[in-house]
Amino acid sequence: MADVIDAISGLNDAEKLGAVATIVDGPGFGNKAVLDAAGVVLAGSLPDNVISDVSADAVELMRNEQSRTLAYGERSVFIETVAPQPIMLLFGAGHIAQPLSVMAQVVGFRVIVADARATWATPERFPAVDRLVVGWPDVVLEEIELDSRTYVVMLSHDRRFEDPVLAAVRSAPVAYVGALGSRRTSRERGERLSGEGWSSEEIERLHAPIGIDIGAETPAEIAVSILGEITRVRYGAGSGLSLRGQAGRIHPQRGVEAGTE
Amino acid sequence: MREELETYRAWTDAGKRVAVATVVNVKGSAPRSEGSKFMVSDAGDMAGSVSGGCVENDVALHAQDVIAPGEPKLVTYGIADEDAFEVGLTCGGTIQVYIEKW
Repeated sequence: MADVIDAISGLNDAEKLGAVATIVDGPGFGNKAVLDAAGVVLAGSLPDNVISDVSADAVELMRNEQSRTLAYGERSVFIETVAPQPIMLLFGAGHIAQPLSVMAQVVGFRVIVADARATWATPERFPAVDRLVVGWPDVVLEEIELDSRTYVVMLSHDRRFEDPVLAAVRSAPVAYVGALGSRRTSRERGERLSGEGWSSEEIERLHAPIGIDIGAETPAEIAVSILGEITRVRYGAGSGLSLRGQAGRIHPQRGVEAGTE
Repeated sequence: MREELETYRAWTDAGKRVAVATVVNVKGSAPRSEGSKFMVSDAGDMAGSVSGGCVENDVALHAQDVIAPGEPKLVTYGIADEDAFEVGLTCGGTIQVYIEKW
């Protein structure tokens, strides 16, 4: 088990995608293997007659970040995706960034906060964030790979901060981009970007004004509203409305087509 | 699995033995999805959840068996019977929990 745990730790430390496959029923009960994103065994082992099928299914499940028990003859194998944490990039270290950074970490994000104002981006204000950057957005954007696990939140209200972020995310496959601001600010931003050649699809990718309409007033409540919206986007599910008065499953069975049922 | 590994290290560093229960199968409307984990030490520590509180006490008992001889277990939990003391999921659905020693 120690080699298996070391291999999982290694995936986590390297921020890499992988999977753990365990025989949870049938011959070889309890045997397990750790696989990399390509399905290659990193540690542990499974019987020769199932490993290639398990490996192929694991690659598919990892692609969708799903975990499932699948049947292989008389065996059931639980394939669990080990995915890197999603990253939340907060541009603007103001009063909303403080509660939002804390809440986002509780939800499971790795949180990076950036602000050029050294008086705002202080360890005293952000004692627990994963990374605090005093600098312009370019500094962070050059280092971070903007991929489908990246959630970008602009809280600055300031074009000088927003413009470099907008330029970077325009063609990047990020999961989410949101910008704080009034309806008027959001409309004006849209018109400005349109004038700079952004297509309407590109502009509509921006969540602006940011957040779900829950009547939030305080910075912490606004953080809840933003995190609610990000959760919906992350899972591609939910209406954003109260569950009362609605039909259907509360816990949607995401991607059941990949399962054995 | 980052948090679970941290908990595992903290407990083993303190000389404790650790069992980990994982939801490996979900049918119907269950509170926690596949991969959710509940950890138990031989000193009685508990962390995480597999059901939102419905079956954790029973899982913790199984976990002690798993820690002692080290053999894993697969346990199935369904909807609770009318007997209020029966272990089960009040919210409906069926889950399978795989319990192993780490």
